[in-house]
Order: sequence, then structure tokens, then C-alpha cells
Amino acid sequence: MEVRTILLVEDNPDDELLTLRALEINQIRNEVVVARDGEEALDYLLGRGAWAGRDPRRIPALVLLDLNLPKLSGLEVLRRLRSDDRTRLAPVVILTSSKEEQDRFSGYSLGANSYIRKPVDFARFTEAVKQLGLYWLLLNELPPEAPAAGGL
Amino acid sequence: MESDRESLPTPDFRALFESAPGLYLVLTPDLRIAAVSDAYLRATMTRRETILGRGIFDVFPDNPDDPAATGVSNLRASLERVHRFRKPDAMAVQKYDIRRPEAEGGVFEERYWSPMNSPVLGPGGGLAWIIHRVEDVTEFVRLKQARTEQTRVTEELRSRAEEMEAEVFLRAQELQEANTRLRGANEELTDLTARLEVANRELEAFSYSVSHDLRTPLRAIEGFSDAVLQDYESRLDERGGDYLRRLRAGAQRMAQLIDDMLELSRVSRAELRREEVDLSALVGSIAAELRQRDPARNVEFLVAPGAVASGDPRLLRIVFQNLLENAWKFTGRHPRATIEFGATSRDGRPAWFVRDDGAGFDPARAGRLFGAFQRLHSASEFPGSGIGLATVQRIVHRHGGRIWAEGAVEKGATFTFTL
Repeated sequence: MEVRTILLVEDNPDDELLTLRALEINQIRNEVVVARDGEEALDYLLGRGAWAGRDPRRIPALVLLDLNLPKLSGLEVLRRLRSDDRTRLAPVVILTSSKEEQDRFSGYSLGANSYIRKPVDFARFTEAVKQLGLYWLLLNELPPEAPAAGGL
Repeated sequence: MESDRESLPTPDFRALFESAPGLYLVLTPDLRIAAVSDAYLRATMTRRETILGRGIFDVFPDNPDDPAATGVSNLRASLERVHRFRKPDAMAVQKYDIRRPEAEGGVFEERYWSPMNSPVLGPGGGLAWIIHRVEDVTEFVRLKQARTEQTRVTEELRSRAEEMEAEVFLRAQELQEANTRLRGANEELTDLTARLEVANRELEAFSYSVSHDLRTPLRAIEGFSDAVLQDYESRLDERGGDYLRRLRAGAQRMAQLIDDMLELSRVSRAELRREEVDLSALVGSIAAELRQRDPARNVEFLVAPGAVASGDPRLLRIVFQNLLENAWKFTGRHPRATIEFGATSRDGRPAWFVRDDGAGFDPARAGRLFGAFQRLHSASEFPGSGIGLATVQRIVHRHGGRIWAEGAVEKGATFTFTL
């Protein structure tokens, strides 16, 4: 079985490192692509810019999406990837510091599959990542690839 | 014809004169009263025998209470003119007050007269008599006066109306000014509201940034302390490990503080949506959560059934979460404990309480219970941010209720509130 990537959209290097560490501790060995702002995330997902040539229909196994991002907000990234036929079925877990109602509401409204608030306690964060990996990378079956004609 | 005239009886001229319907006085040239008609006597409230032979000005003096009286002098002038010109003299309407008889109090009664003095000449052409004839025009004058009064009243009314018009105009101007000021005040209020909204939005943004940005470095402190503890365990001595664990605990406590502060601020800003809330069910579900979190504890929950209240369900959940978690926490050092929820009343209003038999508090310091960051126990005894009860109180106040606490050291605590 082919191992799909995890797209980690995170602008804070500490959080990036800690998330990678949590994945490593949980022995999640999928390739992790890190996008450090919203534009980079869309470049990867839609196969453009630095990722020109990548087939957008090959959706990541999981997108870990922060909300507070430079250039393009996490919610905007989510909106754009949900409005593109090639990427609209990608599993997206919002992983953020905020538990503001408005963010949760907007996140789910735009089609997030899950919303997780990053705990300060690293042990709990590791546990959360473990659960994420178990569910999204092992249990969950990805949707079939979108037909080639379905894109732009 | 001749025979008819002869057969006529001689008229009694005296009787005829005295019975004439007019008011007549006959004066001698020296102005003494020689004859008077009955009508005159009635009108002047005098008697014939008391006035005959007396001078007219002796019988009818001016009203001494009326300094403006001119009746006597006018009459005198008229009579003098009759003397001189031997011609009838009509006088203008005179005010001449009539004195009532002594038996009726002797007071003067206001009267108006229209007098006429006519000479009666003797055979030699000399003045023999003066006929003084008067008409009592008091009623007529009064009527005229009444009309004058009415005109005056009308005039007064008109001027009052004008005054009122002026006043209305003035008031209208005042009203206009008041309206202008009100409009100004309204604009100011709108402006203030707008500024308040801006301030609120800024506060929201601030809270958001606190929630988001303050936690990020805490995660780094906590996460990397943990990473060092895990990955470099073999190179750390006891003390190094202890320091790192303190770092982690500090970061976690601060994260909790931030969350509690955010909740306190959120509770103050959140829109209040009242509906009927099943408090018994709410308490039951939180109690179940607490049990699940710490199944080893021996705590009995006594939850009164059927308690309902009108309030915001989400805010009321925060109230009971805090009160029950406190009760759970402060009974933690007792091997067995009872936590009770029930309904009561206070000053005729329904009230609800959460009671425990735990560590309690010193009643002398009860006033500090509800202040933010106020703690009556040391963190090592019972951990907490000191914000929970402040949050509870704010929610209760936002519902228009009040909350109070009763307790004693090691005798438990009871928190009662209205909504």
C-alpha cells in the first residue's frame, strides 16, 4: 500500500518541531511536508509554484492545519481546497491554539473534518497526535481519487 | 259736551300725584321738599312724613363711604341752572347711593339715576316750584357694567390667549432646544456605543491573541522541557530533572490561568440567552464526569430531582462545573464525602445550592471568595487559579441574581445563588 504524505501547515518553528517530535514518538512514518504559510500550503495542495507538476488529485493522507498563518489564513486555505474538485475531499484536521467559538464554528462550517486544540502539556499533545495517527492514518480509508477530468 | 264737563268730579290732584308711577319730588324754590310720589318714597326707601319740609340735600346727602360721589354737587348745579334759566335741565346718569333706613342697618346701597329738573312758573313768571323727576336706571347701568365686565373678561381672555400663545411659542422654542440637546445626546450615545463596540472588538481581538499567542511560547517551554527530560534523561541528575519538571508545571499552570481568564472575560461578554434549564440533569451529568475522572474517590452525590431554572444553559453549565469541581476538590482530603445539590428560596425568590462537607473556609474571609485571583487555600493544598468563583459570580450577576457562601473550616461549604 502506497503511503501518502501528511501536510503540516504551521508557521511557528517550535510548534513544527514539537509536532514532528510527537509524530516521531508515535512512530508515524508518513512523509511530512511542512508549509509555513497559507500560500505554501495551497502551492502543495494544488500543485503549483514550488510544487508545480505535483498531481493535486493525490490528496495527502492528512492535512494538519493551523489557523493563524501569514499571507493566507488557515480558514482561507480550507475554503479554497474545499472549493476545488481535486482536493475537496482531503481530510483536514484543524490544529490550533484557539478554542474560540468563532474559529471552531468557521472551521467546521468550511468543512474541517476535525478540530483539535493544541494542549500546552506535551504529553497530552503526544497522546492527541497518537489518536490522530491511529484514526486518520490507519483506520480511515481515503476517498477514491478524483477523476482527471474533474480538475481545472 | 258742556253738560258732560259739568258732571265731572273734581280730581284729587294730590292723590293722583302721589300715586303717579313715576318718581317725583316737588321742591320749593329754596329746595325744600313740598311733595313726593309714593314711587319715589319706595325707590329711595324713605317715608313721606320724615322728608316733607326738609331740604333736599339734608335728606339725600352724598355717600360718605364713596369719596368719588358727585351726586349732590351735580344736582345743586342743575337746580341752579333751573333757577337761572327757568328751563328744564336734564342731568347725566348719576351715581347716588341710597341710604337704607336705620332699621335695616342704615348702609348705603349703590344706585344710578337719570334725573330731570323742570321749573313750574307762577302767574308772574317767577319760579314757583321745581319738579325733580328721576328714573332709577340702576339695573340698566348694572347690565351695561356687566356687559363692560364681559367685554373686559373677553379682553382679558384674549390677552390671556395671547399670553398663552406667547408662552406656547416660548415652550415650543424650549422644546426645540431640548430636542436639539436630546439629538446631541443621542448622537453622543450613538458615538459612545460605536466606541464601545470598537473597544469590545479590540477586547475580543486581545482575548483572541492572548488565547492564541500566549499559549504558543508556553507550548515551547513545556514541550522542550519534556523533550530534554525524555531524550537526555541519562545525562540529567536528580536536580536537573526536578528543575525541568518545575518548568513544565509552571507552563501548565500558566496555560490554565490564561484559559480561566479567557473564560471569565468570555462570560462577561457572551450574549445571555435564557431558556428553561434542567438543573438536576445538568448537575447529574457533571457529577458523572467527575466520577469518571477519579473513580477511586468515595463521594456520594445527593442531587435533588426536578430542579429547573430560567437561564443561559451554557453559562449555567460553567456555574455548576465550577461549584461541583470545587466541592470535589475541597473534599479530596477526606476519605469519604457528600456533595449535595438542592433547591431552596431566599426572600421569596427561588434559589439553588451546592453543599459539600470538605475543607470549608474561614467565614471571616468569605468576602474574598468571589474576587478574581483570591485564594483561601495554598496551591500546594488545593491547586487552582482563583478565578472560578469570580466567573461563577459574574454569571450569576449577569442573570440578575446573587450568590453567597456559608461555611466553616473543616465543616464544608455551601454556595447558594438566585438567578
